[in-house]
Amino acid sequence: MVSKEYTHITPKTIAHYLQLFDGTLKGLKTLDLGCGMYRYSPVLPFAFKELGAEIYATDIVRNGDKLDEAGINYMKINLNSLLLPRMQNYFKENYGYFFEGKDIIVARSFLDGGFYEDNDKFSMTGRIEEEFGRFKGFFDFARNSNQKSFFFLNN
Amino acid sequence: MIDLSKIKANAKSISEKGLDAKILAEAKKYLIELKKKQIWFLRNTLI
Repeated sequence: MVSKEYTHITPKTIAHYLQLFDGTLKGLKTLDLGCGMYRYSPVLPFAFKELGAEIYATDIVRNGDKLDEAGINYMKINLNSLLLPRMQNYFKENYGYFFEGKDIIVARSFLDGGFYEDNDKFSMTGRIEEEFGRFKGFFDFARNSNQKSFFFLNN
Repeated sequence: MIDLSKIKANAKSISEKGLDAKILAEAKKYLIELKKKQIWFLRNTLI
């Protein structure tokens, strides 16, 4: 059994995605926001890649060399800048392309870091929905501790 | 391109009926294999 303490990804997580996408993620462009690094291993990008997805991943730390070697497109992005109005143009100009054209955008666990506030348009959840809602994507915001998920499907 | 209506239907099915036990069992095996192959190696090399 994989330790939840380190991975935050459980068999339920994987089963959830498999069932949602009928057993395969082949060919889907997937972006993992806050994929994890160091103590929190980036399990989901590896899992998605093995399930056939074209995977893109971001986190706040610099070292993504090992992910690049494994065929995962990694970029260091500080998503906190989404919360700062004066940083938003900078964010779009520098990182916008990394978010475009994705079939699935996944954001797990980093919302547990104190950003999550219900019905708050200035929360991380609100900002991401506002910024990335224009993409035809699939969002899964999950609070790991109890495996609750929120799905945002954009049409 | 993903079929959003199909995914919506699947999401509804999951929320109503829960996860399929067979798929969950596969996912458990899959994660154990993934751990053996890559994850701990990655974690140890990054720290």
